[in-house]
Amino acid sequence: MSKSTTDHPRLSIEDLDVVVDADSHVIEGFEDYLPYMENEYHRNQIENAILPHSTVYSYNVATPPYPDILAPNEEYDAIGIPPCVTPEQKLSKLDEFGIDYGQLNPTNTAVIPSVNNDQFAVSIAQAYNSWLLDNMLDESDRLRGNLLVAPQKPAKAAEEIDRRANEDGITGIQLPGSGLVPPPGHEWYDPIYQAAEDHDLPVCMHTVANVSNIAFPIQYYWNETTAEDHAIVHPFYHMWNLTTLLFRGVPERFDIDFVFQEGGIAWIGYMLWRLDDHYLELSHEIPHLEKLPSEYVADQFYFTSQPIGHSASNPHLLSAAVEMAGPENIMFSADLPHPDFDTPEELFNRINGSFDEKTMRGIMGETAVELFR
Amino acid sequence: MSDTKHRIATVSELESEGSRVIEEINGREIAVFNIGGEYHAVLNYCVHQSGPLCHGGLTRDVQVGEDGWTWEYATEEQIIACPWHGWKFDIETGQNIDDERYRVPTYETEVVDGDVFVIF
Repeated sequence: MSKSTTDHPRLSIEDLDVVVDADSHVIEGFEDYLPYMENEYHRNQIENAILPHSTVYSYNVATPPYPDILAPNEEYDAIGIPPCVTPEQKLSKLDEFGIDYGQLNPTNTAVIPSVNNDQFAVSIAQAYNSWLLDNMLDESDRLRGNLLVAPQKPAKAAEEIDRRANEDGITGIQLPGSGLVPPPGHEWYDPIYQAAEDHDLPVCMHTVANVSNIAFPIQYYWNETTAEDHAIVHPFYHMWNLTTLLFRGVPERFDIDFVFQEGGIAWIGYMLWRLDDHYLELSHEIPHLEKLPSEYVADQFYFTSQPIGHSASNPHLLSAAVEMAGPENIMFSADLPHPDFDTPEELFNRINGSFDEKTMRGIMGETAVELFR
Repeated sequence: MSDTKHRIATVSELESEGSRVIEEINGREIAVFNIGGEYHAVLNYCVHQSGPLCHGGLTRDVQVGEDGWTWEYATEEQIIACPWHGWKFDIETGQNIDDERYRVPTYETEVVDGDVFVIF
């Protein structure tokens, strides 16, 4: 049992040996990664593109997101949060919040599923990975990273994994969780899962809000604000992704771990109850599974904590959410430096009274250290 | 206390494959089925939400074939699906076919002079 008893000494956040931001971002721009694009034709096309966010990618946002934070800022000569394209910039943010390690994910290239042209998508993943390795992972032992893959071309994604999996600092794969069509349970992605299994790398699935139109077009086109869109798109994608991965037997067919990022954790227990219920009532449609969906989740799925949500009204229930999702499967994430980040204390202080020391150390960093090796 | 034989049906009532008879015996509703010419008795009670399990349809378990893709039947029609929510149990063993933690009681049967008995 992970529940605490009253006789153990209370752990302090200062006592933790390691805190990991299990979903930590760089904020890469075209100017950062395009110089690393190996295919000269692709590079020129994208460099010279008019409005590349809509003619290379297809960003879709209902209204300007976080205008009070992200509006252009003179100090940064860019958007209004500190740039994050050097190890110093990244580490200073981690230091500010007492975080030891960052498991790096992209920001802008996380919308790679929105790239219409498969050639461009594959090259963007290659360029981002080269930039990440050269500028961040090779420069600091405190930074680890996920290899970005283009879901449009799984065979090329597998080649990219084969080529880079053994590079120092690469400790996971990022198969973006938003905009995957067909959904990730489809055999389309088998080459990616096979490569992940071959190289013993977890598959991270990070959701973003600016591609909600791909899988949820009706909701996107009728959402009038970023707030409406952002509130639903993360759980929508996570729930669909988890459902198809499980019901189509991916964790049975491949010996790999999955990490769901950017969806928070309170939805998980609810969803596991639903999935188990459907498995027991409709198992004739789910012949791949040999045990309850929740048991696969306990064995092979991890979830990063941010955004926890506004739990201040009933903080004791956050521990129940962690308990339902499985404390061994929860990893703290800050999501720094994005404007919906969580501090380590936001999670630690709320749940520390409910779990023993070993469990708390696991949630705050040691589980991530073990998984992202 | 030694087990007692309770008459539940006649052989002629259970003549056809898959047929069943449900009777209340000493406060227990028990169904006896003809599955492949053998008689199997199951308590008419679903451990899920107390539904009348044995009023449900007979069905078959499904598996993924050797090609790793094709869905196919894995059993004969020896699975009872609860009419309330579709939880499925093997009539011969009482075992839920999807989760080994769930099971419904089954009973030994015996045929004597054209009558089928359940023993408990």
